[in-house]
Amino acid sequence: MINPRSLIRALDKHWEAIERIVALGQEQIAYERDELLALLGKVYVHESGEQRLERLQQMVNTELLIPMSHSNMLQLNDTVRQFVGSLLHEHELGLSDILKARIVDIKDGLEQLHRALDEHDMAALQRGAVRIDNQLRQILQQLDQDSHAIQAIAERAKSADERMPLARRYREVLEAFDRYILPMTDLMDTGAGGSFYPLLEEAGRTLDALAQKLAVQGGLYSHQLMLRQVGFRVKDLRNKGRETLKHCTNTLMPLREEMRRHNHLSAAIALLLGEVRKKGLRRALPADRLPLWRKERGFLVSIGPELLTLMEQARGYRAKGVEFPEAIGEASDMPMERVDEDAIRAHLQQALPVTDLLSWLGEHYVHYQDVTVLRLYHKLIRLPDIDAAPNPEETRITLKRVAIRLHSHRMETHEHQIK
Amino acid sequence: MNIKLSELGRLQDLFKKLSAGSHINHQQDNELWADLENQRDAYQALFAALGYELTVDSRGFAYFNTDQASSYTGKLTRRLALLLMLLFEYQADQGAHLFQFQQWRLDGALLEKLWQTYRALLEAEEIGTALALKEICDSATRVGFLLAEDGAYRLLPAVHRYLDLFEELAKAERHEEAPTDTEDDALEDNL
Repeated sequence: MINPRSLIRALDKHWEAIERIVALGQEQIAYERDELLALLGKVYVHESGEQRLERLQQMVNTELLIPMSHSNMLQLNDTVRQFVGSLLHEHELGLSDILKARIVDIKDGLEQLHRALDEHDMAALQRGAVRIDNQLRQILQQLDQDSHAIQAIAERAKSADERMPLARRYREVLEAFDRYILPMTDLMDTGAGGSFYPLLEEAGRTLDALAQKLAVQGGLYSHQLMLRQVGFRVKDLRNKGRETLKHCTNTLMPLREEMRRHNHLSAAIALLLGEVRKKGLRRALPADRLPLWRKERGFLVSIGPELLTLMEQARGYRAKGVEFPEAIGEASDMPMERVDEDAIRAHLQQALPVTDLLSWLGEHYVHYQDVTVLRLYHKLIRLPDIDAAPNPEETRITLKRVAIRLHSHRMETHEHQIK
Repeated sequence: MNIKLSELGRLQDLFKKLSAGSHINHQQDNELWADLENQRDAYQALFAALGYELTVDSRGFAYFNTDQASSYTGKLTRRLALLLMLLFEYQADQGAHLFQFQQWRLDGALLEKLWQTYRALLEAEEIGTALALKEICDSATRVGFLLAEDGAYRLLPAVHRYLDLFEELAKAERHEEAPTDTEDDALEDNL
């Protein structure tokens, strides 16, 4: 039988070692003596081998460590393990089934209270209240521990070796989510689906009603107070339960989401790569869906040294003289003639009708050069007030230098003018 | 809206980068990004008036959007898509966290491994040598998907554009499969 006082004193004396041993407890059940001595060596560096052996013996004598049955290995005293574990928040995640069992017990407790009040059995009332209170306290403690445990799970997942495959790193998270968060969500559901939260509400109401009844019946103040205290604890638990669930979900949900997104993406890429292998990149990834970005090409005009050279050259520019051949021939000798076109026109008007205009010109204006005569000819046939029509017969007329063969025009007065 | 040009301190730098086809990444261009985030509406309105569609993604990147590919971007975007798919598949096989891609170091050894692992597929897409993979990376660096750093590359947030595309395309491929998990939605609603 352990003496509590000496156990606590021993715990204080060997705390550093116990802390390590509890941490080791996550991986093993019992310890070899040599293993423990090595551990003591690490913790109490300055002690000699003999001192360590003595310390180990003390730990066994004060029942911090207990020999295992059927072997000479040592195990940690379970009371110590629990106590130290709860002080260090070293918890395994509680099971929602345990919570359910406690809820059943609270229901029984409430019935017990009803019966006790009906039978005016104040001793039973007290017992019932304490029973409910105990359960409520246990649940509160469990919620608190769970909250820490979930935090630890998230931390472990995040800080685990990065080279470890993600699925393995996050396995604990996914398990915790399925084993704890989902059932808890069901339990805490405020609607018809939940069992815990509505029960707490009902318990609160019942306790209030009972306290009131007791007051009306004139019960002891201490009994009324007791019911009220339990009532407060119920309200506490209602808040705490929702808070814990929210906290835990908020901790695990992002990790779980991350994991799910990771799985989505890797599945998507595997699927697409399969398509690429089958159909080729061009057909697996349609051009109109691929990420694009707009690119403008800038055009820059800059004045560089090349341009300056060019300008230098332009400044000193001298036009190259090109000698044109001398104009030769008669054209340059040809004197300008004064032609009184109006007089000729009036002359023609009087002479109308003229059967052969070019002959007429040749006859009367023979002193003009050939060019002038021809120019006059072309001008006169276009006169607006005289009708000019080419002769059907071709004539040949010899001017000063050239001879021309043409259907010379016949000139007549305009018909309407005659009229 | 009234835009005060004096408040758009980094307008010139932003325009220069964006119009050159580059992505702004908050990690690499944090000053530009900060300015862009602060004056986001003004920049968007101003660029829209100039005929540019500025897309700012809250995951930390921005770019000028277009739906017309030039011959250069068309080829690069397809090859980069393939390279990223192979890289992500390779990394997923190694157990790496896919959404922490910004921490990966894409060095010559890794490119060589990719080339060895997916040689058949790459050759089918006319990427004939491990050096060609490096060339894709270099081009992607110029438009802000990658960052070259001590002889290796790092992926920048703009890579999310490709990841979105992959998920979207895969979703379209198997859209007839079972609907999504409704249990989680119910849970989120509850909280």
